[in-house]
Amino acid sequence: MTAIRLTRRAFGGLAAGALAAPYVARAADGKIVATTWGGGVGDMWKAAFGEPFAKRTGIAVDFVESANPATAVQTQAADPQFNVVTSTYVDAVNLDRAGLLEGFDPATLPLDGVADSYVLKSAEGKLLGAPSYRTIYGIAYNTDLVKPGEITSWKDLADPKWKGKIATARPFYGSIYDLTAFAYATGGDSDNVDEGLNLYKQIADNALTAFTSLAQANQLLSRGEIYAAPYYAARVWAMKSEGLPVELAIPEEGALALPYLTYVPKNTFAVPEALKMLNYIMEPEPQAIAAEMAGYLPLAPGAKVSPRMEQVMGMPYADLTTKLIEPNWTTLAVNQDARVQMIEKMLG
Amino acid sequence: MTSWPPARTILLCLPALALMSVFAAGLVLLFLSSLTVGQGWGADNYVEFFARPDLRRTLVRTLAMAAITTLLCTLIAYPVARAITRAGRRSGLLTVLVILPWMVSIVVRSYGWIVVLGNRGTFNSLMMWTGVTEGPIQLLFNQTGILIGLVHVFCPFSIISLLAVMDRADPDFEEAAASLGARPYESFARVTLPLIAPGLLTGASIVFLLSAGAVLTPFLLGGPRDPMLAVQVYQDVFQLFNFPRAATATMILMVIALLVILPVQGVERLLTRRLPEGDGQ
Repeated sequence: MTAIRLTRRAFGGLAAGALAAPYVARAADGKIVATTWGGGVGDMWKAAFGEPFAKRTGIAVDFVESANPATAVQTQAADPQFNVVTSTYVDAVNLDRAGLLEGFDPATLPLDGVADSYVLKSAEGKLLGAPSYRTIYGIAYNTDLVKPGEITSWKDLADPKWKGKIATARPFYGSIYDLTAFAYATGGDSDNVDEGLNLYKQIADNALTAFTSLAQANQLLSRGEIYAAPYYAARVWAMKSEGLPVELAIPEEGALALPYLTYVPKNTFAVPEALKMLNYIMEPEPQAIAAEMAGYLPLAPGAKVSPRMEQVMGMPYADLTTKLIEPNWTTLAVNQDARVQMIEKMLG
Repeated sequence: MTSWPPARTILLCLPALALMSVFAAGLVLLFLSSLTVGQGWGADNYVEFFARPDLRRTLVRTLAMAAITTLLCTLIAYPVARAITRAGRRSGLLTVLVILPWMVSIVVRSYGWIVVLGNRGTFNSLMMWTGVTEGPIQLLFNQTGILIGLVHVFCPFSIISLLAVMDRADPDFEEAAASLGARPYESFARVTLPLIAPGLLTGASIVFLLSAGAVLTPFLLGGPRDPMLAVQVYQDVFQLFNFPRAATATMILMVIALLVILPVQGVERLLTRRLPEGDGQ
């Protein structure tokens, strides 16, 4: 057997090569390395977007779950590890304000027919991502504990009879979702949340807790630890499909339409392939799969919601869209830090 | 004349020094970050922190919860550690049982508490079924919930610290005290306590520091009106990306925790020096 002599120089070269290999491979092979939240969201993303895109284009798609996709972009700003990221529209606005998103010429990412309120542009008019889907933020309730029609308004959550029986989001999400919904319910809007804050205080006084994750909120709602909470329709419909006693009330003042954006971090790798992915995401078929799988409602023009999903939703999609509050998400993102502090001071 | 250690000793210390310098650099950067105000420098973040009554209350609550957790862990740890040291051949198995919860994620354990202590959980269902209470007792999503979670998570640290000293403490001392007429509480106060004090204080220091910096348990079992400071720091770093504010809260918590811990460490060193040498080991 031949002995292999490993000199210090050769060892150093091999070590450096081994350390650099993932980066070299990553940059060279032009694949997609995507991230969003894990669990049901991640499963939906892979099935609706990742796998069909890879099948059609031959471009490999690696998917990695993130506890917080926007944080991943922020912390990897110097050396991005993902080239396609899906998170909330508000996250995207904040990342853009930090100069961390890649902008695209509108000709390379046609978004004709998508409502302006879901399209994020940079100050220079570049498109900053593809509006992948939206969910609805209404009032979830446990059907064993709350009668249909017992909660019809955001203001109902302030009723003293729900003392210790409801939950809210934590201040970080409450500042953009709960507070905004309460503001619209009390005659305010994205800019004016003063009355909404008063309602928030009354509702927070009733709250048993502020849920910290979707898993926790699902557990609290389905076990009946809480009777009701402002919550995401997609999660409610998923629980409902599993046979759990949970339903969604669309408040008479409207439910919030929460948009999600798929974007490309600045200075990342394989940007042309990532742009192809954004274009694919804006096709009707993948967005229809996202709706069918997990109740994430399409934003691509022409994307259909199946009759089965409409039955789960309790009404035709066209009807649901008339009951939505569509705030100015950029205003909400810009004011988020200050509003988190407002809520903390109010609670503390 | 000063004699320098041999070059080999200095060289051997270099890796440790390099490691410590990384920690020290981290602390310096943290401090500098806390002084960052926009594009300039200043103590504005500290002024803003102490100007907010809710943050002051959060700081006090954090320290109080850490202190109560430390006390409860110590009170639970002593009888457990004593039972283990006297369990003979079964002591190994009992020690494994103490550290077994460490093999399960804190998140899973915290969710487990919801099943046991929630309003519709096992405990409350039993209390209402037996007629002890008419409605559920709220044990979660408040300070009680945080305390239950923290004691559950950190008690093994107290037990292990105590076991380390109790294993080495000679039981003959207690027997000698008893044979000389000391009552059990006198024997405990004047013989046992001084012997186990170093372990007690080490465990208390660890539990206090870990509780003061705990994120997950307060996050999962606390309520919206009972935030702990580390949860605020988590939010500032990972959600609001406000690093200067997070660094400020961290520096404040760290300095206060050190002011509490350093005297305890001094007492521990003093007690250790006064202890008998043991059986020659």
